[in-house]
Amino acid sequence: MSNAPYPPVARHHPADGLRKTRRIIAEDLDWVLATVPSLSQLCLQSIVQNFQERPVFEELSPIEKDFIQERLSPSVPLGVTANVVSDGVYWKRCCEQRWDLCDVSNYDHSWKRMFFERHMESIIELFIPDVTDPKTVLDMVSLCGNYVKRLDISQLLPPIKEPEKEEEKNSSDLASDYEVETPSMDHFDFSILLDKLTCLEKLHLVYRVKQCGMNFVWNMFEMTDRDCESLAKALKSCKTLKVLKINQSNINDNLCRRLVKNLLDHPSLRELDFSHNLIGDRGARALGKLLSNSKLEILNLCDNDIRDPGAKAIAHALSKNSTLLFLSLRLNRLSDEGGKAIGQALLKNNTLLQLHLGANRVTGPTAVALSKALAQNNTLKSINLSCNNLGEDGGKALEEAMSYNTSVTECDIRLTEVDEQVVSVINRVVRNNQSLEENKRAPESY
Amino acid sequence: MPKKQKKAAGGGGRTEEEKLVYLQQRAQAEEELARKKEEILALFLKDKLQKEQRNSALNALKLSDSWRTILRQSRAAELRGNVSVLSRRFERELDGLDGTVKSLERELHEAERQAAQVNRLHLRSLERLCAQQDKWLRFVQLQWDKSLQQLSAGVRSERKQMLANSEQLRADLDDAAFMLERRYEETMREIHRVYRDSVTAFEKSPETTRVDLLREDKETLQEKSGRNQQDRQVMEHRTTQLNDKLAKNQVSSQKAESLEKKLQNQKDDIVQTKKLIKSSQTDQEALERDLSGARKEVTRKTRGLRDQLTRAQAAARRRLTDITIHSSNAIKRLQEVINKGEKVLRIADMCRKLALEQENAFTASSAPTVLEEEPEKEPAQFPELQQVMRSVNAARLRHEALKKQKSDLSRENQQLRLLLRRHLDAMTVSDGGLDGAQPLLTVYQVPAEPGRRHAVTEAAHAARRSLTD
Repeated sequence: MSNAPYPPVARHHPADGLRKTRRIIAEDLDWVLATVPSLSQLCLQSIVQNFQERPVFEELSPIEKDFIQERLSPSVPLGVTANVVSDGVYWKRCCEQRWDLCDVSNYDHSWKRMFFERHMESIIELFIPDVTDPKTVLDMVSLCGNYVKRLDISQLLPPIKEPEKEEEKNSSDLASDYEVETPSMDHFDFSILLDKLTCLEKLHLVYRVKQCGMNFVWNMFEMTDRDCESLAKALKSCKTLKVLKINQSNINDNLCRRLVKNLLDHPSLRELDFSHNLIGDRGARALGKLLSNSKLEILNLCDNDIRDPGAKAIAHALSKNSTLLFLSLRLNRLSDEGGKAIGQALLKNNTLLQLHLGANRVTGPTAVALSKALAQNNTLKSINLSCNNLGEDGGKALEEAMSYNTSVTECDIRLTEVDEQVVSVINRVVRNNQSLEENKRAPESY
Repeated sequence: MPKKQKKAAGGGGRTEEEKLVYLQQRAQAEEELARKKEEILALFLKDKLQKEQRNSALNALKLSDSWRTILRQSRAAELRGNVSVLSRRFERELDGLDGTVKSLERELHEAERQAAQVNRLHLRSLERLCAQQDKWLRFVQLQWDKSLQQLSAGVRSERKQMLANSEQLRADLDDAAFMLERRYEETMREIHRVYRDSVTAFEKSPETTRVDLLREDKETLQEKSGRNQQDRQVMEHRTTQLNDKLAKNQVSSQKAESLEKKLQNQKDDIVQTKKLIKSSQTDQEALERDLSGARKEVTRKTRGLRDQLTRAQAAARRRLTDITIHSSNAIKRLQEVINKGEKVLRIADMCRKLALEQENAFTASSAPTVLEEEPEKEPAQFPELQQVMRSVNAARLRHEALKKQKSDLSRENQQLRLLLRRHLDAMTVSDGGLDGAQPLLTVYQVPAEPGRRHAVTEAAHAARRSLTD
């Protein structure tokens, strides 16, 4: 049969067609045998595709909301989704797409909160003063102000210094200082941010630059005066802040005093952590004043430069205070004067639960003073005097005091050069107290 | 001395001995004098020497002093210069050392600061790890406590359940025991009552009761005897019934035996019939097989015959079609010939008319051959020749046109024949070539044909129209 005069015709063998239909393997999990999806499905798909222009979410039923949360693309701009899409799978998908490690238990099991907090943190951490536009931050704040409860910022970038400008500065005289433009802020200015975050409860700040490599300059790791002023103003304006931690940012006495001045009479501050800074006696005096004036429950001043006068000021505040639960003066330079002052304060104070005086320079007399307090105090639960050279006398005094005490469940006297016997006696007493406490707690379960 | 010697010589004029002695004495004296003088001289010289020595020593001292002072002066200036130079040098070195010391101090500070920073970071990260560990420990502790509580709660609930069950059982037992006791007491009471009644009845009327009792006894005895008789009758009746039943049983057993025998016979028959059936079934199967074989052969033969039939039919149909085609062609040709003849007749009539009109001697004959022959016969008559020539040329032209048309028509006939043949071939399905491709191919090819056929028919129509025109 010659086919030349006729156009080429496809050879459709019926057997091949059957084989083709059998080979279809659905990779789309939503593939249904029914070729025509229901109208509600079509509507939901069109909602998902056009979400940017017309965000429809509130009016849907919970099942439809789940459907949209699973299908909506994470690249839809936040301005649209932030206030419309409620907490759920969509934010989980956004988080997992953006970051590798997502542990939602740190964020109270709320994916939306995790996403916004980490997003906010990354914006602030990558903010370069005078280069990044503050408007980006403000726009973000207006969207996520309701969902950010904690900000854990681990780096704050200083402004970029161009080397040419530096040379000019060196060669010119004082007169040119007024002409050369100093950057408007040394680090990110929190005063634009904190009063707009209405649910912020915890703020952790570290003034440092990660991965600076060979460009290491000490001023990347310091908080300057201007930063302190803006931060102080911002803290005063943030009315819901409960926890403030500023670590390792070279806070010295002046900065500390300025910050404390603005934190006096703060309505909701409960925890203050200035550990790993350079606070000295004047700063400690300011903190003592803060103790008397606010409802602080936790005060952590470990690894600072506080000596006896500062310790005396804090002890004075402690004796009058009735809200503080945890005080840590670890890794400071207290000596016996300060220790004795604190011991005397403990005689009057009956709310403190945990006291940490480890790694100071206190010796035997301090132990004697503390043991007097221990013998009659029955609220203190944990005391830590490790890495001080208490000596035998101090050890014996402590042993005697502990035999009268019934509330201390944790007494740490490692590396204090006391006798082994003392240590064993004290451990026995502590174990007794622990079992006493468990018995007190136990009947509640029955 | 030479004077003295002269004197000595001059004084020699005296006695020579005296002179000699005098000379000797004088010599001696002179010698002594000389000696003394020498001594004095020596002393004097010594003194002088000493003095000179002293002086020279002094002078030497003075000289040395002055030399020293001069030397000192000059040396002092030099030394001062040196000292200043050295002092400047040492100052510079001191400054350098101070600078290095300061820079070392600074570097030490830096290093301490950096070490402190690193330590702090390390501490913070350790604290974080500790916190994490504590969190994990607390979590695990919580889980442990929870599971403990759950277990204890489960155990407690089970215990309660079991207690409740046991108590319920005990309660049931108590109830049952109570019930039993009550019944026991009731029955005991009844027995006691009956006993008491009987005792009292017996005690109340001893004699009458005895007679009554006797009567009662007699009555009871009678009753009992009557009852006995009744019972005996009943018993006899029952025994007869039983005997009847026994007889019946025997009969029925015999019947059963016979039935059994019959059953066995029937079973044997059944077995035999089954065997027969099996044999017949095998025969039937064989027959069936033969039949099926025969059927297959028959079907094969029928199929073969059918194929032959169809082939013959196809051949016949083809022949028929050919014949029809041929006949139609022949008819067409005849028709055409007839038409041509008619046309020629008409043309001849027209020619005759024309010739008659133009007073021609010629008469256009129907046969074109006459036309061909005639011009050769009469070439002399000019005007008539011209007319004849014109008519002859016209006829020749017509002839040629007709030839052309004929050839065209024949070609078209051939093509039509081919088409028809193909069409007919397509329409007949031969059993020999039942391929999947061909019938569909032909099916697909057929629709292309009508267009062609249209073209062909239109051409035929056009040709016919042109012929009529």
